Amino acid sequence: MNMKKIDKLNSLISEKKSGWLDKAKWREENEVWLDISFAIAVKILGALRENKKSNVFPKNQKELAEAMDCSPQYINKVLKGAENLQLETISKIGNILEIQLIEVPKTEKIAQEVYSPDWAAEPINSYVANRKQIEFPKVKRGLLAASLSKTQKIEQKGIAYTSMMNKFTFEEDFDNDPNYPLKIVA
Amino acid sequence: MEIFRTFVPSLLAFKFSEDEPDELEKLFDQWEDPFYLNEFFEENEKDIDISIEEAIEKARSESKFLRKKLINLTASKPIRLNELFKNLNNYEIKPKLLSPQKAPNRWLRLYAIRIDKNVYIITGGTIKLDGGAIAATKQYRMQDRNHTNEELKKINRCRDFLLDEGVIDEESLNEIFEL
Repeated sequence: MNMKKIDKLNSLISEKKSGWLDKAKWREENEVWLDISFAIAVKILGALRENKKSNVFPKNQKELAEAMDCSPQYINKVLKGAENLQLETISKIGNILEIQLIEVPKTEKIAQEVYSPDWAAEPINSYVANRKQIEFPKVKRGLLAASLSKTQKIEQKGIAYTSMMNKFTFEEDFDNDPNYPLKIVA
Repeated sequence: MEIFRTFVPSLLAFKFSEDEPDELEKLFDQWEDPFYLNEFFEENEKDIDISIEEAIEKARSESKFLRKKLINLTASKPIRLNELFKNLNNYEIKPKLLSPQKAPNRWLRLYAIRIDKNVYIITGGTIKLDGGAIAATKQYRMQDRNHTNEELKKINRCRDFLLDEGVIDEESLNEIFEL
């Protein structure tokens, strides 16, 4: 390339510079949450596409904004994978579209114990089935907790959970607790 | 029509509109945008053999791969752009016979005009699909699809502009490259 052509080229080059590198570096630095945000957007777009095919509300970003009670601009940002989403927002969108957008793996050891075949056959399950108010078992930080009414707890005192007792001890402190929590501690 | 310097002095990019970034920045914005990719693959679903979700993921993965490759380039000395770009040799402009694929092809393309041994100006880029209806035709020309035909027109516009400005001459007419 001769000097004349180089001068011609230089005269055509703007003083402003491409913003590509700044954006590329930002994307590298924020890659972890951007990947999640991207994956969520793809899943939402897929759900909207399916809704559109079967004519189910919400079937586009405008209707999703309506359902979410937010602006279409905000939904557009979400669908462009550019929004650092709050868990509350993710859950709300998931509920509206009836899809699961995010999953955190359960603590494996506890999950295995709770859902093991041994447990499935325990009398506690038939006990639970007969008393609709009881939510059992709930897993929380390695602790199994059941919310029982006072009467149910008193009833429960006489029930022998033989193999359960092999694994857990009961903390029966409901006399002092207005909410009567029964905790089974591993 | 403006020409911007990019992240290395010898790689330039055209900017066609006031409201939009230069072509390099614009393309990576699009390739990292699930909404844009979703619309693109919905429009071109007949040319893919995988689901739209998978196609979006493939495009994004390729974009990340190219981005990292270009970032790495900034650290290399000397910067050898000619190792990155390959000559189109008009093979995409004329009908190209498609051979049975041995490995998945890369879809994302950047197009550039070479104006000196190691100086390139990016004119644009696209997602060049190779499945479905395209695979069935056994040949592929850039004119066959709107989005690739648009890129062909842009290359020609840029080449005419550089010719008019005296930056390139007739000998450079086949110096079209892709990354």
